[in-house]
Order: sequence, then C-alpha cells, then structure tokens
Amino acid sequence: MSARVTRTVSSPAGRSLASSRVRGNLVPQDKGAIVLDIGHVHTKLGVSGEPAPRYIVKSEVLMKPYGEILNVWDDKYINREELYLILCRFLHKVFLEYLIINPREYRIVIIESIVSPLNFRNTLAKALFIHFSVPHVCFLPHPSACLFSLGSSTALLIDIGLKETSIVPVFEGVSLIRSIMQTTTSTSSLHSSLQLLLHEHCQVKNIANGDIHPLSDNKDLELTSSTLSNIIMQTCFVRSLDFGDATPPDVCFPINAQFSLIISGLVRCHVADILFEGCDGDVSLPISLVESLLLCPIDCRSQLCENIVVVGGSASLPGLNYRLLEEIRLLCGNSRYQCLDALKFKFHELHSHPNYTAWQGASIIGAVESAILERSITKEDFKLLDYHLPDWMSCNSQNWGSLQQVSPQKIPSSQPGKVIQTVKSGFEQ
Amino acid sequence: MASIPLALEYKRYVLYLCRCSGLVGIESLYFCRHCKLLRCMDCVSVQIDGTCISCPSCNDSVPQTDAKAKKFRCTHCYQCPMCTTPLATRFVQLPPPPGKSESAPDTSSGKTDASPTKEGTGESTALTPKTSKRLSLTPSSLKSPGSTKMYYLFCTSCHWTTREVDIPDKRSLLDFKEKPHPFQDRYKALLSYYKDLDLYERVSSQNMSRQVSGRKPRPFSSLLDTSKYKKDPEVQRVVKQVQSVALSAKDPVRLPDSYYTEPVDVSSLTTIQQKLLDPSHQPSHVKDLWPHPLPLISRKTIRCRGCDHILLKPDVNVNLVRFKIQHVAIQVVPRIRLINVPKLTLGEPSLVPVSITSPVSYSMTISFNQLSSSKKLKEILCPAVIPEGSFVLKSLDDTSDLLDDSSQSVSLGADQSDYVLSSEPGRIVLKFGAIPSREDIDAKIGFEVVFSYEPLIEADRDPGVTELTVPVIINCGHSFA
Repeated sequence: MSARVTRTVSSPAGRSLASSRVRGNLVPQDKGAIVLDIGHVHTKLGVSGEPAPRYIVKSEVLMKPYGEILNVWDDKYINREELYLILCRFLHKVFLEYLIINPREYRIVIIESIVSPLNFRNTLAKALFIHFSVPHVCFLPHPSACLFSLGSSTALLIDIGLKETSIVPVFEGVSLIRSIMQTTTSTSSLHSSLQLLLHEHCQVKNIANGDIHPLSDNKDLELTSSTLSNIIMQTCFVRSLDFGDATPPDVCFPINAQFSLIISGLVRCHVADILFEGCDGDVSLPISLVESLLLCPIDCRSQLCENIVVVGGSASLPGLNYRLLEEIRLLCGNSRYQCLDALKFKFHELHSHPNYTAWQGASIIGAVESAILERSITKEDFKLLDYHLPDWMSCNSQNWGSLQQVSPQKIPSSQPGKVIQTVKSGFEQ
Repeated sequence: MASIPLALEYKRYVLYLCRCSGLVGIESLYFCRHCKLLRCMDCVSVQIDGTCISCPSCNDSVPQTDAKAKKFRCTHCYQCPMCTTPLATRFVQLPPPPGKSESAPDTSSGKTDASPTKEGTGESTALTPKTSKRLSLTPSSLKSPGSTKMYYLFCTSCHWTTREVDIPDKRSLLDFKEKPHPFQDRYKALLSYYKDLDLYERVSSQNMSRQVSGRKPRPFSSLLDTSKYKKDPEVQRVVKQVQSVALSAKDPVRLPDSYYTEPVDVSSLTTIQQKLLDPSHQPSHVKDLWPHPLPLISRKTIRCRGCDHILLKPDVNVNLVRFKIQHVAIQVVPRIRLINVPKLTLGEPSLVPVSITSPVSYSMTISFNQLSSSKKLKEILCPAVIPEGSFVLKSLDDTSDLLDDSSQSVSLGADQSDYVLSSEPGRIVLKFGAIPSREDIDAKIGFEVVFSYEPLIEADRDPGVTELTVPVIINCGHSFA
C-alpha cells in the first residue's frame, strides 16, 4: 500500500510550501491514526497505539453565534443539511482543541454502529473529506472493533447504548447479521425508570432547615440526565435474584447547595430491574439475548454462549452480568428456550473500562497501518462515488478504480441506492 | 477565532451574512486581500501552528515533537482531578536527614499539615509553580546546607491536595507523572499480534494473487478469523501465545453482601465527569484520584480556502498577544451598530437608528441595496426602509477636533439629509426603517452594504474591484401592537 503514498509539493498559488505543511495524500509512516468513537452521550477520542483514549468528552458543541449547545446526534438535525455544520464545528473542537493535530496529516478511524443513520455517515464523511481534507477515512464496524480489543474471534456482544441495546453475535470474525437483535431497553430506560421510582419513593431534604418532604411535592426541582446517570453510577447496583427481599440502606445524594435527595434502598436495588423486564413494550435484555441465540446456527451457539461480552456505558453497573446469567437460566426453563438449557454461559471480564472497549480495539487496528489503508476510503474515491459512502469499507482502492473504468459517468447523483447497487455489482465481478 | 466572551455572543443585534450562508458577528469574519472576499470561520482552513504550543498555566512554550511525546500535556503543571483547576505547587523544606531518611518526611509533613489551610487564603492567585513557592519552616532550618525540598500539589479552588489522597510528597514535580494503563502489557501483546497477522495475510494474499488475477477485497473479519491458518504451525503458535495473554471467559461473580448492608457515602465517590477526566483508570473512589497533567493549548494559523494565503498568523512568542499577519474584516468592512433598541409598532414603519463607522484611512463611499435574499431568509425578515444614494465617510483624522466641523463632515446629496441623524468624521448615523409584520418573532431587517475598497499595498490593487458588498441582518427586537 506504500505505493499510494504520493507527495505533492507545489501549492495552487505556486509557492513552495513550508516543510511542516502536508498536502495531498502524504501520510507519514510514524504518525498513526486518529481514532474517534462518536457516541450518543460521550465521544471517545485519541490516537492509535495507545491503550486508552486521550479524552472522553460529551458529544456536544456550542453553535455560535446563537449560543445553543447541540448534541451531534440531535434528533432535530439528524436528517438535515445543518448536520454538516454541526459536525464540522464538533470535529474542529476534537482535532484542534483537544488533540492539537492537523487532521490532514493523519488517517482517521471512525467506529460506527452497524445501524447508524445513512445521512449521519455521509455527512460525517463529507465533513472529514471536504472541510478537513483528510486523506483516508476508515469506518470500522463496532462489533469488529470490540473483538480486536478482546483478541478472540468469536463473541456474543451486548452493547448497551443510550437509546438502544444491540446484541450482535460474531462467529470467527463474521457478524451474523440475521441474528442481530435490537431493543430499546437501554440506558435511557434506566433513566426513566429511576425518575419514576424517585418520584414514588424518595424524599427531598432541605439542607438549610432539615425539612423532609416527598420529591413529588417539589415540582421545580428538576433532575437532569447527568444527575440521573450520576445517581445510577454512584448509588445503584443490580440486585441478584437469589438475595431475596433484603433492602439496602438509604443514601443521601446532594443535588445542589439547597437540597439533597434521600434515595431509598428499594430504589437503589430495583432501578435496574427495568433492563430485565423490558420497557415501552420492547423486549428485555435476557429475552433478546436468547432470541438472538435461537436465530444463530445451531453449531455456533455453544461457542457464542461461552464468550458473552457486555460493553457500553451502563455495562459498568455492579452485578449486571450475574443477574443476566440468572435471568437466562430462568428463561431456559421455558419450553421455547429449552434447547439452550445444556449450554454454558460465560462472560468475558474486560481488560478495559466497558465504555471504551470498542475504542481500544480500533486503536489496536489503527496502529496496523497497512490493514487500515487497505480498508479505508480515500478522498478521491469519495469524490468518484459522488459523495455517497458505500455500505461497507471492505473494499480497496483497486475496486474503486475498476468501478471508474466500468462506468465513469453513469453513477446517478440523485439516487444513492443505485450507487450502492453499482458498487455492489463492482465487487461481485 | 477571536475569543469573545460568551455573554456577547448570546444576544447579537447585528450579524453579517457570509457567502456560505452563515450568520456571524464581524469579529468572526476574515478578509482575504488576494481573493477580495470575506470569509467566516466556517469557510477558512484552520491549522495548528506547531511553533506556538504552550501550557496555559506556566506559559512555557513546548516544541511540537516534545509535546507529541507527552501526549500534548504539560510536564510540570497539573490539574485538579476534582474540579480541573490548575493545581498550585507547595513545598516543604526538610532538614538534612540525620541518618534515618525514611522517618524524616513524616515528621516534617506533620509539622506543616496545618499550614496549607492557613496559607490558602493568602495565596489564591498563586497558580504557577514559579510564583507559588512558599517556605513553610523556620529560617534556621533553611540555612542548613543538606536540606531538601519536597513538593505537593494543592487546588486553590476546591482545596484538594495530593496529601488528602495519600500521595507522598515528591522530590520533583516530574514525579507526579501519570500512572501507566493497568493492562498495558496485554495491549502491546495484542498490537504485535495483529501486526503479525496482517503481515501473514498480506504475504499469503500476494501468493494468491499470482495465481488468481484480481484481488478480492477483504473485510475486517479476515483479520479476526484465524481458522484459515489451521495448517500453518507458525501462525498457530502466535495465536496460542496471544490467547494466553488475552482474557478467558469466566462465570460472573456474585456481588458481595456488603452492597446490601453497608451504607454508601456519596461524597467519597467520584462523579462521571471526574471519572472521565482520566479515561484509562476512571477511578470510582475519591481516594484513587491522581493529579492529571494539564492539557497544552496551541495557537492556530488561518488560511483562505480559495487561494491558501495566510489570513491570521500568531506571534511565536506565547507571552505576546498579537499577530504576525492579520487580515480581518474589522480592518476593511464598515462597522454597523444599532444605536438603541427601537420601539416598534406592528404594521407601521418604525425608525431604526443605525451607526456606521469606517475603519479605513481613505474616504469611504457607502450605499445600501435591498437584500436579494433566499426564500429561507425572506421568512424571517420583515420589510425594510433603506436610505437611497451613496454617502461618503471621510477618514478619521486626529486633527479633526481642532478644525471646523462643517468642512470635515459627510458630504451629502440633495435629498439625503433626511436620512442622516448625525455625522462626524469616520462615523455617520442613518435612519433605517422597519415594518414589523409578525408579533411572535423579533423583527429583523436585512440589506446589502456596498462600500468602496482601496488596498493599502500597491500590489493588491485591482482595477476591477473597487467596491465590496456584504449583506447585514439587524435584529430590531420585539414589536408591539
């Protein structure tokens, strides 16, 4: 792949450039890759070859001149043109404020969910290629990234995100697309469950005069989502089924200078039950896990069961894995899941914090230069594809080249679906 | 990228419309004297200036290669893991060890334990290591030649100290360096494993490509899949090796009973924000916190996207707040300000007084056009009454105060005096009008400002370009029925 590294020295203005400036396709050998995992709440950012991200920051950006703070995944903008500007501002912050690097000198590895919205991917690629003129971008699927950090090729991945939980079985490196299960039972359902329980069972203590009254009486006290996640992470845990009805002691949680919340023990151990009961009519975690297993080929099941990996922000809840195992065992008594009863369920103990497991895997593979260059899309390829990203990155530049030879002008600009079709037929040849 | 206080950004009355259809304040507009175009911060290319990387706390300039090796963090400034304030450095002077060097630090730190709280109030401004050094012991012990300095860190904002979390005092500030990642060895093993695997894969695929023309693209799964090397003993050896370091799946552990019985003290636990300040360790208890090296900051060079000329180049000296090259709109574009927030009546033309200031040293001719706006803009704008004809703004002269006003003021056409509220050299206040059409949104008027442009440098002079145009949108505030 080193043949692709070309050097362009002259600038459009005809001046010779300072040696510090790099233009065109030049990717120096030693610089490594920038690895970005843009999550719904936090973005993990860092440089390849390092075991942990340099920063974990909120996926938010201040939009001047209006002073609005916007999340990059804001529902309002996810399918609109404004997303380009939001992403440009956000990436500007990431590259120039946090990482202090010139993005055009690095290759970029983006970790993407397999179900990320098309417009978001395309706009992100546009922002990187057009606004930041980066030479190579590699979109690494989330399950592959997780497996690279594990060092194994088979796993049953459970990724608990903010809005949805996805269960992806990966067997010998191949994601079993048909067996993927998605459920909305996730961190946000934990939040809504906590809010409900707090209003039912918790009391507010006025620090100044010691008055105690129920939270439901105090309408103006608003619990933000960051307060809720702090309450969950600091005080709550997942109750194991065999412990019975024991109630842990209450906890005093200060909200602001004026009030503190007295969180009853009942709330502390029952808030995570929502993950095992299902929320908003969607299935619970254990059911979607065993359903996903039923959809897997029968020969893969035993290996997958012995390699369960739980990642995502909420995966660090104490006792989650144990309860999951208990619930699966209960379900196996059901006649529908009886075929799974003989299987052994084992959970991987992660050697990174579960909120950056995927990032760590991408950082490993980002350091393997040839592997990334081969599987990434270049600026020229992206232009050739009429600014539409293909569905996967497992294609090298030779295929783009052959595509160009076959139909240089035939790619219609208004029909992205057709582009993908043309690309796909290009691969099959 | 001018750093304007946020409060100013929140309520803007006058905004300039950039070519990229972004609305910006004038301080975010750059002027490229080669393209003769105004560019906002979204249509310029911003780059890190490798020579201007510095620490925001100690102002030390750090070369780019050094900074990169230290992951763009300062080597001797630290930030508080509780509140991210830069930590102040304190030291205690130890008497020469009388033989038992181990017990010496204990006694002296016990002696000075009370001092931080006493000193804390007087030293709130001391942030850099240079200024915050303070002697804590009696002068007699200082004079002894063999005495050593022991440093500890102290937060002037939340009073967190490194002593609080049982980090012993260090001989040098460099000793507070970050703890390594807990699974660093395993990470390195995996890294070399995948590098080897990739090499094997490429070698074998090159062999293949000799036989079969045209290589098939490989997905990421091909790197994970080791089953295809079953017959290759060398690969199998590497795979087994990595599997020994890689984790093995276990039965999950049941939570200890202490979770159900022991009370939780929230103040001893870290918040998520505090955890994420240190991504590699993410300590969940306050006692595990460790000072983080302070992130460095960098100045940026800004270039025109069209012609690649530099628009803004900072000074190399980090202590100087000035620019080597600076081409911004404020130097060229007339500054437009709303004199006061007008009283608007719904459906009726209302007076909007607007002041226009010329920043240039030549006489500037200004005229106004109706905004040929897009549909989107027309929805938010209300009809505007705009002064007709052109106005000449004479240059602002230092001696103008001494001379007679009439000779220096704005030269006007026949009917134009109706539009002028007041005028002085370099500045004119004109009457604009707004006809608010909706009550629910702020009344906004838009117009184009056409102004003359004469470059200072002869080389930039272009007979084709003598005037520039910039669209301006003014928010006139609420209207009342």
